[in-house]
Amino acid sequence: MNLETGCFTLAMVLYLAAFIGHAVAATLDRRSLYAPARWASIAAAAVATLALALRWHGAGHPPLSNMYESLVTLSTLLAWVSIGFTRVNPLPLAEAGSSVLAVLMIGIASVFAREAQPLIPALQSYWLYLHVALAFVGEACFALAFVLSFLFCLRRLIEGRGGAAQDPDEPPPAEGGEKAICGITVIGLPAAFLVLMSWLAWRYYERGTPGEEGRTLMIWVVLPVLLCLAILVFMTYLYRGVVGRAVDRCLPSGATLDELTYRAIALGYPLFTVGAIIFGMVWANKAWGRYWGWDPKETWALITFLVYSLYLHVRLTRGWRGTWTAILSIMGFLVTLFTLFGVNLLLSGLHSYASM
Amino acid sequence: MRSLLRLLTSLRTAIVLIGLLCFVSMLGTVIPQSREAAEYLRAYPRAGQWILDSGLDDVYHGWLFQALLWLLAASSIVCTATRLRLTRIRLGSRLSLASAAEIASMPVRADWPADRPQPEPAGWQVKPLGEGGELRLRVSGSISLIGGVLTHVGLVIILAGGLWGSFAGVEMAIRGVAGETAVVPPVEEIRVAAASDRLRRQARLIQQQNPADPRLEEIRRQVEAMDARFQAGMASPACRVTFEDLWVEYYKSAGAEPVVKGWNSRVAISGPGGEPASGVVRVNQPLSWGPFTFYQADWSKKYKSVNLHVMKALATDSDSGLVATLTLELGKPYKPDWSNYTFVLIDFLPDFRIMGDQFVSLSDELRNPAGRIVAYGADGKVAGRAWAFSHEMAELGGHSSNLPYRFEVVSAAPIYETGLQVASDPGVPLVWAGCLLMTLGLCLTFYISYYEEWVWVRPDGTVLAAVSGNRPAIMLKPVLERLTAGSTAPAAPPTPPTDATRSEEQA
Ligand code: HEM
Repeated sequence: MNLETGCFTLAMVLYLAAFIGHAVAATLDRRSLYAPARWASIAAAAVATLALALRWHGAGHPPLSNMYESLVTLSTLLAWVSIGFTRVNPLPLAEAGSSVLAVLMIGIASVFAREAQPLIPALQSYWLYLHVALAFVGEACFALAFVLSFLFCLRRLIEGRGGAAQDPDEPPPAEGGEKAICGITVIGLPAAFLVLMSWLAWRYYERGTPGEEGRTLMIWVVLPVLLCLAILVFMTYLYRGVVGRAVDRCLPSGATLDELTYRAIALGYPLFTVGAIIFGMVWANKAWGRYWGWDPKETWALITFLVYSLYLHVRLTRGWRGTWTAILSIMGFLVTLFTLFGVNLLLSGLHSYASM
Repeated sequence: MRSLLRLLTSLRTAIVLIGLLCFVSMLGTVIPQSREAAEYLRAYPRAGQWILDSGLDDVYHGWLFQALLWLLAASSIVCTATRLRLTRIRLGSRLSLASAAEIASMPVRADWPADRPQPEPAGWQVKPLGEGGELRLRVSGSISLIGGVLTHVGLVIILAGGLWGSFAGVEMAIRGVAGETAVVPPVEEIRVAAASDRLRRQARLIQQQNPADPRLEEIRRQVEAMDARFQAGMASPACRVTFEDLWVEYYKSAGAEPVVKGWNSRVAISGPGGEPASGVVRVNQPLSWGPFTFYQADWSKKYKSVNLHVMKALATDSDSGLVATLTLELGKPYKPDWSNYTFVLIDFLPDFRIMGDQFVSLSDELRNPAGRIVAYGADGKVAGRAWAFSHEMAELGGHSSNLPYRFEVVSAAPIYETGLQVASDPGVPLVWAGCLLMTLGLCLTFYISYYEEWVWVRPDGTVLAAVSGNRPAIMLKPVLERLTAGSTAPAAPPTPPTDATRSEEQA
């Protein structure tokens, strides 16, 4: 194991520690655990940053040019964005969610080729760094918004149960279709993720791909998630009274989560627009002689931009705050992920060098 | 007219348009684009015809997408005009339009604590109210308000630049090896060639549906006229591009295969439209001349001359059977003195593979060379064919020759061929101007905090304070707290809520 891999492994352990600390702090109302958990996530992000710096030094270019590098960089940016965002408003469950996403991204990254390759001619441009780096910071904000929207759905699902006084500014507890959608989101998203990862692992296994992608996915992604979920469900069942009350107390109100989601998107939207769309256009114009060519990657970046534009406009119209905007923010992040990875794996185009 | 305007200004229209654009853009990435009609009919037996009829085979240039873009542009223009008016009002007459009821209904508000001195009116805009009370307003970060307008104006300008480019812009590819000269016709003729390509595709589509369609004849006439015009353009080009030198740079590495660092084309450009110029075109480093910009877009190795061993087809163990060593130039007949045949190398694949029923070259590298040779007899008729492979694969060569000889590839010298993209797009500066405005607008909207601090002194002397702005309530509350705590400074970025305030909120 070289130093860089060692650092990422240590970062994963620290993220997991942060996740457990935050989760226990929030679900069992152990506030004293919050500070150590936060320090664990800061240490994890610092160690991951060190690993990125080592890779940058070794490869001679910033770690932004293939799937492995994209994932580990995005994971580290998400950790920092989450730490910065919660600096003044502690949100233990959101911080736990970000730690989980960060660790999963490193886990999935380990499936892809890790060797640092020299940059192909098309990638040798400072626009690459500006374009990808800025877009990634924007996407990290979208990831945080996704976590907050997920928590919003959780809040709407458990609302009215914990017995907490209803804020007069809050909408009445969710019922019927709205509650069903929140339930589907809260339970369905982790389940869909597990099914997708298991399917991918099976595909790798079936294809007999050289390397250990299938096993890596199972050991580093599917099993830990399954284990964490099982422990969470078991603990929640065991301490249901305490957990219910603690989560109710620790989880901000629906309106606050909605506003924080908006904040995260409002932070990320300009960065994504300028980084992914505008700098992408400038670079494409320099490299290919046209600023827009309807390449699948470009088109999906535009779709991501449009989905978040939709979110911003929908939020301006009355009556569209809450569950529906949360669902739109979740969809936005799923589209972001598809733009980042799905396009490279499923649709081909000029940008598909990034699948190497 | 009025209801159309109302429709275009409606935020709902914008939402529907943006949603539809998302959906149609997505369709373009899942349905293969710009293929031949027959391919759609084969790949989608049920939906193929519908895809062709609705233009989904070329979504982004089809009527549906174009209509959505035009509508979005129209809606953005109308919206921007409305926003401009509202922003002017908000900047200039915010206080005069405000009412006590509005302040009383703001979500972030609090009664002024009775034990604190009442706020001083200095530094505030003041509006007396009818029954003796007054409203006071203090604003910070007003520049943020023009962000929305700038964003939408930028968007409209980008769309305008894109539309202009799609009508007036052109692109084409030129190729050549060192020493060759390629011609670039005038912009108008390149546009004609692109239109002719589109017409041809349309004709193929019509022909597949009905070979006797009367429109075909008209299209044929138009295409011929366009082609003649393009040829005339080639005869009196806008410029000539000579490929003076082509070279590849490699990374210094210990690996077995050298890794390409850069492809370089030194070109000299001359023509009636400008001073002669020369320079190096690299990937990410284009060269501009007159209305054109040249980009390094493609690069390949060509093997025009191949050295071969010729052996007797039936060689014995004691005799290698070597008859001669010869060099064949691709496509050039060669008549040796040791045979009655004339040989022509008709094809050379440096990295040969059989894929299905096709012979292909996987790369430009000389990994598994294969040459296809045709032999002509003295009467000029084809006398036989043969494949030439490398020494390691020579066995195969023996089986694929119906001549008394078999051939082995000894070596082949590569020459580079460069492919340059030539583009001219007058809309580009407009697009960059729009991008700049949009960036500025987004930064102002999202990164500058706009706060309105309100004080309503009621007729009975009690005071209500409220804060509004472009930040969420959770961030406005600390501003209100500072205001009611007696701070005279205008709103600054809010400080974090303390644990005490947070638990108050949660309670
Ligand atoms: C793809 C096209 C569009 C993009 C990218 C876009 C982008 C934006 C952005 C970033 C905001 C700021 C949101 C906020 O303050 O929270 C905004 C606000 C707004 N947009 Fe759009 N917009 C688009 C099209 C339209 C259209 C067609 C309309 C016309 C109906 C429209 C009407 C508005 C209005 C009324 C606001 C709020 C007022 C303001 O801040 O000026 N937008 N838009």
